[in-house]
Amino acid sequence: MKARILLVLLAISTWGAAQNKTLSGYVRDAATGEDLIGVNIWSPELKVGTSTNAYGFYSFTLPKGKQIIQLTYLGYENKNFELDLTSNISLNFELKPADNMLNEVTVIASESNQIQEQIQMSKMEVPIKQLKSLPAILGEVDIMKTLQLLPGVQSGGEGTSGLYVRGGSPDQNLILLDGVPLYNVNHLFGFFSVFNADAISNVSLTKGGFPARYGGRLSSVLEIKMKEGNMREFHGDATASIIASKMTLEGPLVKDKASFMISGRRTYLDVLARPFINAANQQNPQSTISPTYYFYDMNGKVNWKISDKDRVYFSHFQGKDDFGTKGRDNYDDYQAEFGFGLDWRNAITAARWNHQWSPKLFSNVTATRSVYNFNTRISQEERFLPNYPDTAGTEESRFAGLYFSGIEDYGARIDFDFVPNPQHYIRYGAGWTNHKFSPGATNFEFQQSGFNLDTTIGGSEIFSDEAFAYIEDEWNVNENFKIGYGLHLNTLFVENTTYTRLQPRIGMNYSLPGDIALKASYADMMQTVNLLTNEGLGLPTDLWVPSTATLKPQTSQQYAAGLAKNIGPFEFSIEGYYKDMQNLVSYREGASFLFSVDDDSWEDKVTQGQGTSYGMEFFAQKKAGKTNGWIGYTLSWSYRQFDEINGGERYFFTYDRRHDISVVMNHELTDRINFSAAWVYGTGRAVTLPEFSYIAGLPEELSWWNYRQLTVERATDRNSYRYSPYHRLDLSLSFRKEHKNYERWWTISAYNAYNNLNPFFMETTQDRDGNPQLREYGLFPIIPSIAYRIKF
Amino acid sequence: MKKIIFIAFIAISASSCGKLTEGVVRNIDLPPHTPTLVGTLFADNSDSSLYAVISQTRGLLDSNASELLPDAIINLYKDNVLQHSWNTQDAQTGYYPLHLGDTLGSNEGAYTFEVLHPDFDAITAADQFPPRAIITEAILNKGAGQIFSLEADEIIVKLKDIAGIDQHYLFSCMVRFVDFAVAQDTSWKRVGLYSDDQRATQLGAGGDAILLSENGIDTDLQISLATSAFLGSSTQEEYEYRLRIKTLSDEGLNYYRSISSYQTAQNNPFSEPVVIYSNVEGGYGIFALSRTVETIVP
Repeated sequence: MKARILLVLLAISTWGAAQNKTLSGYVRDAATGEDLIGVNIWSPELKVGTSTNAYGFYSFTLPKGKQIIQLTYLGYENKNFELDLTSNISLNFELKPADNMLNEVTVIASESNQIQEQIQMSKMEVPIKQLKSLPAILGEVDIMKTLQLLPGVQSGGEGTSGLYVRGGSPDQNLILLDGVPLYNVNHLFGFFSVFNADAISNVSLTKGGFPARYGGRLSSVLEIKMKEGNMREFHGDATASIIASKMTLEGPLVKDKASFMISGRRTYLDVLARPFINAANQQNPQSTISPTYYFYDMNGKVNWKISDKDRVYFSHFQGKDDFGTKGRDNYDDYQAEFGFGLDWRNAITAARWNHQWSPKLFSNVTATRSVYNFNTRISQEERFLPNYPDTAGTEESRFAGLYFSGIEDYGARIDFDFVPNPQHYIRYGAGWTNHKFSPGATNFEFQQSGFNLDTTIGGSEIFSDEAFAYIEDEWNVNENFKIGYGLHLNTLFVENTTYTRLQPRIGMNYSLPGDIALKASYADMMQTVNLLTNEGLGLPTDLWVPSTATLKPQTSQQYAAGLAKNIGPFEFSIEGYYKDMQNLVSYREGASFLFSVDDDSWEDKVTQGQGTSYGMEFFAQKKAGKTNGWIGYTLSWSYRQFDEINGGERYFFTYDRRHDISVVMNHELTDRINFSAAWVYGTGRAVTLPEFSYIAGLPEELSWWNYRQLTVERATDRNSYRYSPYHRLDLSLSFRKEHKNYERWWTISAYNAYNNLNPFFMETTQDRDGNPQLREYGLFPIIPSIAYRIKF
Repeated sequence: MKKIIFIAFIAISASSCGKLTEGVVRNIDLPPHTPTLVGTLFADNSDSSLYAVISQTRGLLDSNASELLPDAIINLYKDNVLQHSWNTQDAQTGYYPLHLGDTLGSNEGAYTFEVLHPDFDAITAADQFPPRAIITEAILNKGAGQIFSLEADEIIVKLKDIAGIDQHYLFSCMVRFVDFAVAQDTSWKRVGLYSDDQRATQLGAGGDAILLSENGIDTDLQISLATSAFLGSSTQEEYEYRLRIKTLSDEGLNYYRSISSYQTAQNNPFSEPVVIYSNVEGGYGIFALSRTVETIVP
């Protein structure tokens, strides 16, 4: 029934458009030839407009005759022109970057891109230039940390990269790098994200009011687009910071036809620390220990314009973290070697083909692969030599353990953009993904005196297939009312079980007096992959597991409403939301995957329950001008309820945060000196505290001999206490200088400038008089850093 | 000036490291804790002695450690009629034993456990005996089982369902040699049990017992158990297993699950917190009744 209504609406809306002509083509950066996303194309006379899609394509149907067209885009010079539209015309535009990339005048002149004109609500965009000028920990600009400063988005804790959007958990964020889902975004245990800002051209985060083209996650869609590469000139960008160096190269393969971009980053903590470790080991050469850690990531992209109507892209990303420690004991009668290590790696590959079928119809076909693997390894070899006490001859033993898990996806999708007239923008498409999950297996090897054990516990692979189709329309009903509506159909096939859900989506924008937009939206979502995570620590050991015959897919319904308005260069919005979530997945009480040597399957260790979150967000943003930045405030509540946790009673989600404030400012002191600051404040994380202890009796099956007691600590309620509030100020000062063939920047920054100890964990200790007390420990004090960047 | 700023910057950074290693003491608004009684009593139809464990709760910031309480009186009622009352604390263990002289037996009716103490309000808990397990078959397949890929003995047990009742079974096992002349020791010894059955839960790190609940599926059950008695190396000597199947009440099932999870989680920093189950009114603890049947295999 819903589908029929949708088709009737589409038919009515496209009727009677025969006397119109269509202007279509691409809008690109005049300097680099790269596509520009979201450029506004506007007819001031008719008060209608459109914008370029994710590939820079636009289609603008107008009445036959003379028309004035205006193109506006943040950071670029406006373009106005007149043309006589007598037939369908294909016209590509190039916009020149403004001298000042965050030019205030440029933005004020724009009319159609104002927040009150858009149907989409709950969508945040931070210009990449602004993002790169904000303070960064250890000099490494981090997209995820910047997104954590937006209202409705919270961090998991000090230093972590996870996003908790509107009371959701990190697995509920669909993170798309060039359209490919990325499963782990963490480097260095979450202190950095895998996104190298130098290789990124565009970032947008949608927290609610999801259009029908998005699916598969409950809480947000983060779209990150890699640079395509300069079509005209060869350029490079290199930065050296305290812990890592990175370099990006881009340029034409065939001028204005094909280009490439390649970017790499690697830490050198291992290299810098090696002399100190070697010196320490020389003090005691009989017993040495050598820890090591590094991460790297690489981005690459090639794109090729086959014709005016066809273009292909190939993009690849891979990253790896490797942490390990090796030790050696070498005594006269005893020798041993031991090792411990963790490594995790991501890789995604995408191939895309754009085709323009007609002035009104554009398609994109994508084939993708995404892989994430995590391994933990431990090993020990011992040799007791004949002169070791009570040893007859040489005795050797060897133990090795390996814990591994992973996920691998292959997918394909086709998307169409159909723009019949300025009143409608229709998108439809379909796709399929094959998932292979390896949800945690432990392999043990043990050899000693002729005894050999080699066994693998758990970890059977699970395959699932997911198919989806969608259709949506953005309909400008009249000057004051716009509506976006659509349907997303998702089906999961797993273990001879099929889950299907038709997910309606709707959003609207009604213009109130005073040019204030009243927006409202509803989105129904389904999620078929789950991240099992320990609530205390954000470790890469977190397991991705599928929905199965017994584990139902997660679902949610989100309602949102708000007001939005532009006043000069300022964007103001206030939004309220309410989100219900079903079939959320959590570990059972006491369960853990790591260091758990039992034969239970992962499904035995999890349970499903419900969640509710609601709140209000205020956001004021100034994207342009010498002084720019934003102020965000969130008031929110988030709860969980699982029948098998907390006695079935509802409890606060660990990342329930009542108040969350962020103030971000970027100011050009002179043409060459830039100052930026970011201050954040958040209510402390919820924590379960053992409020009292007692001696519990043990049943005989669990008691040792006749010792039938165990001292236990008990909480009355889960997550009923709070850590201290989180607050931090970051500062940054950068000095730019132009040379003949290159520009250079020195950037000095301080993370946590006033040295507040933000709690990471808490324990009960004793004071000098032996009285118990609660003590909080943090991770980062003030961290000064310096970075040097050149661009040529 | 630049030098002063630089030195100040380094000094602040260096001094800040102390906070990291020592942490910061923070006052968290903990409500004052009122100590309450804690009582534990497990009673099985095969028991000839009962042991009550009585303690009190201690607040998180209480400098006194939890300890077993003296001066308690323990009462056991059946259908509100006092069956047993005892108050003698074992000086060595600190528990309150009740020696029955015979096995407790398992009569129908509602049992109530009560603890009285001069310094605390009384606590009570109620439970009923669950039906006993009905073993239809128990078979030993020597060397047919596997534990961590090592050869082990397999015991297959079939249990008859009792319609309309959600039954919870706890399996434990002992082994002994049957010929003293050969083995020199024919006493019963506890052995570990393991199972690949996804419905089963392992209790205790050494395979102390296997928990299997019908979980609402009202049907006959069959389970394959592997014993750790002769792991990886068979023996020519004659031996036999004594399989104990204890049926638990709902209260017992909840407590066994939570206390076992707590024990497992104790040394694992990555484990989720566990709330120990309690069915005691006015305090904490557990009162759980069970019935045990045994069978010799083969």
